Amino acid sequence: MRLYLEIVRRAFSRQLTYRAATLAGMTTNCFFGILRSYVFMAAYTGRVDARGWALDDALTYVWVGQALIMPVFMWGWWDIALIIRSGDVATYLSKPFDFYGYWLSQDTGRAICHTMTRGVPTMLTGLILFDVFLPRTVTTAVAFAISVVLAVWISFGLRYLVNISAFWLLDYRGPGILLMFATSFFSGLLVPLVFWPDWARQVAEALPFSGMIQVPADVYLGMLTGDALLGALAFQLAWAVGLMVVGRRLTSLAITRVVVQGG
Amino acid sequence: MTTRLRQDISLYMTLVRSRVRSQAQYRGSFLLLTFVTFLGMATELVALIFLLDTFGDIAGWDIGEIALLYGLAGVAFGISEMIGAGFDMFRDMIRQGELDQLLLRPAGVFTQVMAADFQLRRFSRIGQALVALVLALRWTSIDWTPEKMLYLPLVIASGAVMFLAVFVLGATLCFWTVESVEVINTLTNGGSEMTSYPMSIYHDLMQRFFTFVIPLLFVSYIPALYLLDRPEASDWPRWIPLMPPVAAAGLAGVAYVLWGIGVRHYRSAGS
Repeated sequence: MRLYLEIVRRAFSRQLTYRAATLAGMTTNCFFGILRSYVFMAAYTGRVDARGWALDDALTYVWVGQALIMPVFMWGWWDIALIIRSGDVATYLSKPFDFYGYWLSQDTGRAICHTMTRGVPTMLTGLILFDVFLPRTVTTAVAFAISVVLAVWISFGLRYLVNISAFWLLDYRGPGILLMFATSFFSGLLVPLVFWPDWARQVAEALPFSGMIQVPADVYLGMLTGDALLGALAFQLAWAVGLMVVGRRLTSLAITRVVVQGG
Repeated sequence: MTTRLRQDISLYMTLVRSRVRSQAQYRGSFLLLTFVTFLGMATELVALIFLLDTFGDIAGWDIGEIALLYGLAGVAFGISEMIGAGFDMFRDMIRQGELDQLLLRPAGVFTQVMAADFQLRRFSRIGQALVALVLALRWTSIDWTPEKMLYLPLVIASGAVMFLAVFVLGATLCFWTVESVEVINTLTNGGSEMTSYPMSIYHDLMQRFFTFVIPLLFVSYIPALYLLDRPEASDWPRWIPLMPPVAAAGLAGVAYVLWGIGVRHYRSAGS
């Protein structure tokens, strides 16, 4: 365990060195946050409520979503696919640590750093510029923190699968691009699932993507309490664990293949 | 001037042809990626339909009218990205010293950079935006006149030039600093999203910036008001709908001049 915590720590510090990229990326997140805030402000003209959400709920949702983009790392991540393509994966596999555990720790360290350097400042921008609120109770805040960790692990589980598709596919970019679009759509980043037609909403709420933005945001907004809250966290946990199991299973399958090919 | 322009265009075409040939080697992969991108882009439009389905309208614009804005902005942005994506990755070219190679060749740097990242699969974005445009034309009842028929392609071309100019401005900044050019990148991707909604919903300062500094309001908002004969357009002076090509030419001119200054200013890291 100490080894994995060390990996987390190092991934964190490595990420911390990208200062310029941080500032640049912040600009993008905030610009989109501002745009979507105005869209909702216009949409709410002449109404106080849409499907049980008030304007400040929608605005807060927008900024929670923008703040989560980097921690859950939505756009393209090919580190594992690249080492599979180059053959370096053999070196990693022969090291005395668990392959999946290594990468999960790596990604967790990155996510902690992105939460501090990208998530928090983005959220602060929203709080300053628009009618955005902070979590209303301590329970909400704690539950939100747990929910974000689970969101990162779901996201990692999906990204991992796309990456190891490189073991079998010549071109891993296809599944990767598909994952990116599916994530931004089904997670509720583009339009909150609450504003979807019921039939589509039911589909999206069952998929893992909703555990990446919609669920943490619902927790933050205080939409879920008591059993519903526990249910939502359990839903996230189930997907995070399920994806991990599948990912590990497929990795062992692939490793036997690598050995067969002579490494 | 005209001979040089002809030479530049034929050089651009040659560069693009060679890139297309190399991409055509992997036909299966190319078709798959194009299809996947097209499918993914389509979700943006679906999301827009969901949103409008719930709210009915945004600032008095219904789904057909918003789709018109979205389509105009998307086609223009898609074309600009198709033609000049090289400017979008110019920062990496400078970092990796590729610019020095280009400077040594007996051909225009501008043209070489422009053609540096031509990707066939970008057709998917243009295709998706065209779908939105076709839907918009079905969902709205535009009172078609011969002027409006000619106006539509003119506006799309102007929008593409406008976005291309913004790409060039972003690349030009790299001659001085490769840090935080993302601010300009925000104006391209963010700009196409921004112009997918009526400009009137944004803060006054934003409206002014995108009218007088980077006149992106001519990409979709002004043309759509004119095409739809919306009340906002009823007391316009006659020249306003004709502004898109003028504004695009102006911005392109500024971008090209600054680019020239940037090239002359450039000193390699020497590595």
